[in-house]
Parts: sequence; structure tokens; C-alpha cells
Amino acid sequence: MPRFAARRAAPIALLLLGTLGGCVPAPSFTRDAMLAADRTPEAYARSTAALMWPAATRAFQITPAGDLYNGAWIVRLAPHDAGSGEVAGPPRAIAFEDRWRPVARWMRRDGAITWSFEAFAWPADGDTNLYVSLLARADNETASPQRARLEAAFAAPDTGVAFVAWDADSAVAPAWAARASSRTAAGYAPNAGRAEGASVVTFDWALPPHGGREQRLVLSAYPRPARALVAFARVPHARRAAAARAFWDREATRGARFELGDPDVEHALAAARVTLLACRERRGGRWFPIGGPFQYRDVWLRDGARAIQALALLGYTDESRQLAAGIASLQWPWGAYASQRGQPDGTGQALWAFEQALLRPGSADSLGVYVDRAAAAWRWCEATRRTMAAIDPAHGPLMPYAEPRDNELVRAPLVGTDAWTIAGYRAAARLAAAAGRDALADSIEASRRAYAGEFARALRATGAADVPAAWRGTARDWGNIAALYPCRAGDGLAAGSADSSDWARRSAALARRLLAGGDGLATYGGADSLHGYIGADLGDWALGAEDRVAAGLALDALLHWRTASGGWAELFSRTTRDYGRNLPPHPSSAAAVIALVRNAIVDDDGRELVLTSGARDAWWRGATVRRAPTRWGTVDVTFRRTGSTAEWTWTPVPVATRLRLPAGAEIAAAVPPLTAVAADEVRAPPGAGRATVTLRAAAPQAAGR
Amino acid sequence: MTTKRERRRGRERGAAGSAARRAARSRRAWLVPAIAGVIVLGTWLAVAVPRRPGRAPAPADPAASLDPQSALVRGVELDRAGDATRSIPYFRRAAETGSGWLVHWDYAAALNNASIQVRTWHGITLPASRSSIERGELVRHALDEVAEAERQLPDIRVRARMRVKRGLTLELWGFPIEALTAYHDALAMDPDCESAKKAEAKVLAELRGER
Repeated sequence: MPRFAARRAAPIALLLLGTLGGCVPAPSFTRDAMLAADRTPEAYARSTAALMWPAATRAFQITPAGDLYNGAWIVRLAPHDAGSGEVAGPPRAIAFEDRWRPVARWMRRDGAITWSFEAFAWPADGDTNLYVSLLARADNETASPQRARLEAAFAAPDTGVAFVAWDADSAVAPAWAARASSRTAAGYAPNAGRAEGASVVTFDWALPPHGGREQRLVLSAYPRPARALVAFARVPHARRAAAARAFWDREATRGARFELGDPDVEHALAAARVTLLACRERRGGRWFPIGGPFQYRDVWLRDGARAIQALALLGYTDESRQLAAGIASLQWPWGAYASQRGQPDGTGQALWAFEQALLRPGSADSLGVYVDRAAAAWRWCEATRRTMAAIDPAHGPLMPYAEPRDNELVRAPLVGTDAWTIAGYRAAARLAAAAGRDALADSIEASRRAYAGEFARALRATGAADVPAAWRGTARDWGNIAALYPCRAGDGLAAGSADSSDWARRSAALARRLLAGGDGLATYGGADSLHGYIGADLGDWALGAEDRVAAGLALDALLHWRTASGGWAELFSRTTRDYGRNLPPHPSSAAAVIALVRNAIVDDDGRELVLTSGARDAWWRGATVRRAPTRWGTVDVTFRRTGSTAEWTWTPVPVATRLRLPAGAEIAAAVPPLTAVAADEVRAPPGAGRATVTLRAAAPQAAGR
Repeated sequence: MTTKRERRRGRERGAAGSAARRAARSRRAWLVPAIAGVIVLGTWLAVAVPRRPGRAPAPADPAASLDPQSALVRGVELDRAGDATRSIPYFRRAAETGSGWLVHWDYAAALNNASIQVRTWHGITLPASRSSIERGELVRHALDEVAEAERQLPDIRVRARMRVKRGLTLELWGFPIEALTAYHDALAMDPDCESAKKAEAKVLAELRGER
């Protein structure tokens, strides 16, 4: 919205507030709502939540202690019984509503008094700042009067903090404001005595038996004139909270809708949407995906490409394309893409992200600039590979070494670099074809097929049992897992060839090795460490390998390993349930969950549309996906099992559609034009939009697939 | 909204004014919902719709009033003190208004240093720049300034050493093939350039997996 409109709207808003002065909204939170929040499942040992907003450049973490921290200062909340002096214990869970809607609630108890907190983020007009509206309430749980005290203090980060903001400044001393003025403040404490300019505010309350009191605080991620905070606070907390809910409800229901009859999955998808939409920053007119709201507030193509894909899959087409345009600007003069030092896989990731964002569905008139950029990148990769083949004939035409200073922990030629580059070639060929540049598309595709063959030969030469992380020496698994998904590096191999069989065998061996713990997620480094998004990647690979048991276990694990605020950690300990300083929410894990659920129902990455390849039993009671963007247009899909019949309806597409039966079932009868692909899969011809298959119980060995 | 004066004037017009009154009623009929609509819309705009962030005003250039020599001196001071990021406006001022290859070379060095500058705050070390977007821009700009310095430099042997520096930067960012090309170029300029020989041998060994 243009800024002048906002300025003009303000007096009108005040007019309405005057008109509706007597219309007090319902309390923002009730006791039942607080208790529900306190009971929300929390998978990790320490509960946290992120108060973030799209384009804001700082976020507040609600810490396990129940404080708030923005990377520059801590807002310590010390609620206590003024009689005993005991500070209330930390919250059991810091929960978002329905485990996704970013209005956070948490409770703290100190015996006679129960403390309830509700907080949410809201953008600051015309700024990259954000505000937090925080409501604290004390309830006397006894039949006798109690004295409660709430202390809210700004404090410098201590040695235990997991991150600091890049622009944090020691010279800034955050302070409270008690009235509107031009003096800068980091918080506003209405009705507080001696708050003006102080670093601590205290509220002392005499609570009658079973009575309560509440206090609102406004926090700012950056110091701002006190009058701005006071202006924000003129809208009551409950009304702001309602507006925040309305905003996120709209955001979460934009794009593709998943009506699966499975609230856990639907809420997980909504939480993932919130994380991805909020983890975006701007530079001038460009948008960029960031690696997280806290310690990863930076740009990695490794993570950004996944965010772009996930937003495209969910129909946030504009956002996805804006982010693609952002990363397109990171091209180096010679054609390569690299966001971070020593990460040459960025080229493949960028091209893949362009395709993901721009071809769902394609629009030839907007592709030209991306095809040009992709062509330049492809030429650079080809020249690099030729040079490598000349320098080191034994290694062949593969990409040079990398030193990512990231997951792989080595300086070595990495399998993941080539896997991503191959994926980038496929994307570039598709982009060129969609733009009508057939000769270029054919050239890129030919080079991709040759590259895939060279990749397969190099794999055999390693002597490894599966897909190793590095071509030479030892590296930690990471890009080699991406080779299975999202890169699908074996797709360029001729079906039925020895290379193709070898790739399938190696992929399965890698998945077995990493999933050996039986947790559904991949172990990473040590056997006790579980990794979120690479576990989801293996789930996606399992869908393609027709192993829906493994895919289902991955999704089960991802649904379990969430914070009460719906966020996923990247890496954590199975036994201690701790994520250390690698704080959730992690956008790549959120993106991977979206890809896994979406691919389980609608997969458009190959030559055919694939439906219900990993649909869970609960979804077969009747599920609908609306407005799912695919490479062949936006589709609606409905599927249901009724007794011994499975039915699908979907928006017809110009390619064949493969339909996977419910788990444990096989085809008893399928009426033409459906044809059987496997015992549990049929194919519908291009243009079809409805299918019915009569089912029978599968043989025991097949039922487990 | 109609006022008392408007209503009285309507009565005074009598029957002849009935059509006008109907028109007035008709206007009033849509006026009330229109006002209500404006209020609701205004409130929605003011309360429910989050604002798109604006752009913060650009900070003032601290070097704008300095002559090229003073700007260069100040830039060198800051860079030597380990604050390459703060030195950049001064080098930019010197490069834009001054002359000679050295100022471009110094500017390039400051840009490159800024791209890898870190700071420690409360026990956590983090880049001094905001993100990799800014770091990439710094390095690309540094490479441009190296190229400009080379263009202005008459001594080919010094140019060869500059080309080696360019190669080392490219290696650091993960472009060993481009670095190798830079070392070859340096050796073409000055076949006796020891730093080019050494850098070329090193990167070739790494590309071959020999080290």
C-alpha cells in the first residue's frame, strides 16, 4: 500500500475508535485458551517461539525462560509472588494458536499465582522494525488475597545467547517510555510509575481472592521515538491480536489449500507457510529468502532455493517469483551463482529455483531474462567442467572442489556440487523450452544427459557402497542426500540401463544407512543427531522409489519433532531433545515438510502428473487439494476411498496422470482408459479428470510398500 | 451527512422542491453507507492491513566534504585500524574525485577487507556486514576496482602481482578455475612473477586433489 494512504487512514481509524469506544472486544485470552496453550505438545527439551514479520530485519525470540530477546537486548520478565519473593518458573510450552498461528501464549506459575502471557508481532509502518504487543496477566489461585509483582527489565545479552543481531550496537541503551515523546525507547509501559527512561519497570498488584490483574507492554525491535510506540499502543492489545490473527489466517489460506481431514498435517503446513513468509528480507526493491529469523539471518542459496520451491508449490506464486528475482541478482559476471564463499553448488540451486518458481505454470513472456541468466550459468558450468577434465583427466568433467564452511566440513570435490549442477541443467533446459528457445533447450538437455552419465561413472569409480558425500576423501553427508532429492540426479540416466540400476541401488543404500536409526529422520554425523530437512528429502526420494512406508515415517517424525509454536529445528539430539544453538524455526525444514506433503498428493516434477503417491490412510477418508500450481496449470484434486473403491477427480492436464492406490490395496478392476502401471498404480491418459478403481487387499509383502 | 441548514432550506422550497428532496433523500441513502464504508475501510487500512516497509533514508556520506587526499588519508587510517567497513566511503570519495591507480588499489583492498571483516559481540563472532548479499557486492566491486587500478598502472610487473591478488580473491570465493586463469594472465604479463607461479602450482594441486 502506498504510504500516503496509510497516513490518510490514521485519522479515519481514530474516528472509528471514537465511534466504537463502547465496543470492547472479547478478552484476548481466556483461561481455557491459556491451558490449551500450556498443553500443546512440545517435542524439544526447550520451548521457544519466534515473533517475526515479513521484511522486518529483526525478530524476537521468546526464550525458554519466558523472556524475549531480539539479538541486541533481552527483555527479562520476572513475575513473582511479592510475598514470598519467588520468581515464577519457566513456561512448560510457548505455543502458537493451533500450533501455527503466530500469537504466542505461555504460562508461568509460582504457587499461589498463575501468570499468563500473550504476545505477537506487528509491523511498524514504513520501517523494517517490528513491534510486539505483550499482555501479562496474574491470577490469584487461592481464596486469600495475594500480592503479585511483575518486573520487566532490559538487559544486555549474556553469555548464553545463541545469536546476536548483525546491527546490534553496544552504545544503545534500551529504555522504557511511559508517555509519548521524541525520546527513543525500546518499550512502552502504559500506566507504569517511574518508567520514563528507566531500564526496569515494576508493577505491584494486590490480587483479591481468585482475582486477577493484567498489564500490556509494547516492545520495539529497534529503538524508536516513544510517540511511535504510544501510537501503536492506542489500538488495544485484543484488537491488535484479532487483526494479527486475521492477517495470518488470510496469509495461510492464500494459494493452495489442503483439506485433508487431518488437522495435524494442515496445521503443520500452515506453520511452515508462516515461517517461509516471515523469513524474507528486502534490499531496495528486491526480496530475498533468509536462513532463519535468528542465528541464520543471512542469505544462502542452499536454503533460499528450497524456500522458493515450497512457496511455489503452495501457490505463493508472486512471493516465490519475487524471491527468484532476488537471487537472480546474485549472478557473478562469468555466469556462476554463489551466495556464500566456497559454495559452488549455488549455481545449480539458483537455476533450479528459477524453474520451480517460474514454471508453475509457465509464462513465456516473463522467462526471457531467466533463460539468459540460466544459459550464461550453463555455459560457465560447461567451460568449468571442460577445464577440469583437462586438468585432471582421472576425475573427469566434474565440478571443482568446494570449501563450503558448512555442513560438509571439508575442502573437497563434492558430489552435491555436481548433483545440484545437473539439477540446474534440467531446470535450464525446461526454462529454455518453455520460452520457446528449443535449440538452446536441446543443447542443455544433451549436455545434461552426458553429465548424468559422467556422474554415474564417477560414482562407480569411488568404490563407495552408496552415494558418497565427496568424490575424494571423506565429507559429511549433505549434498549427496540432495542428489536423491530434490536434485533427482539419476533422472538423466536411460531407464533400464546399468547406470540407472546402479543409481537406484546406491540411492537405496544411502537411505538405508541414514535411516538405520528407525526414527523416520536421517541421522547426521553422530547416531544421536537427527536432521529435519534431509530426513524429509529422503521421504521425498522414498515416494519416487515407491517406498511409502519410509515416506510416511519421515512425515510422522516431522509432525512429532515440532515446537509448540510449530517450528522445526534443523538438527537436534534424539536423546536430549536439544537443538543447542541451532534455534528453530528453520525455513529449510519448513520447506521440506511442504514439499513432502505436497509431493505425497501432487507430484509434477517428472513427465507425468503423479497423484496420491504417499497419501496417508486418514486422507483417504476424503481429501481435497485446491489451487495446486503445477507445470501443467493449476489443479484441484479430490480423492476418497469408500470400501473397495478408490476415486479421484482432478483438473485435466495435457500429460498422463499416474494414480497410486491406498496403502495395502491393489487393483481388482480398473476400467479403460485406465491402465495398470503396477499392482497398486494406474495411469490415466492426458485430458482425463476422473478415475475409479476397484480395490482388493494386497499380498502381504506388497502391502508394506 | 446533511446539516440542519440544508434540511430547513428543503422545507422552504415547498412542493416545487419535492424532486430535489427526493434527490436529496436519494443522495442521503447512499451517503450513510458510503461514510460507514469509508470508516470501515479506513479502519481496516489503519489497523488490519500491515504496512509494507519503506526504505530508510540513506545515511549521510561522512566523506562528502573532504578533498580526495584527506579522504584517502582517513580511509587508510580506518582500514589500518581494522575497520575496513567504515573506511569505504572515504576510499570511494578518493577514487571518485582523485586520480592514479593507487587509490583504486587501496579502495579495492578496503572493499575486500570489508567483505571478510568480523566483529565479536557478547562472545559471538559475526560478520560486520549484514549478509552475503552485501559481501558479494563488496567483492565484485573490489574486483572492478582492481581492474581499474590495472588499467591505470604502467608497470606490467606490478600489474601481474595485482592479477595474482585478484586470483586469490577468486579462490577464496570458490572460483578456482577463474583464479587459475588470473594466475596464467599474471605469468603472461611477467613470466618471473614468483607469487603467480606459487599460486598457480597450489591451485592446480588442489584441483587435482594432490593437497
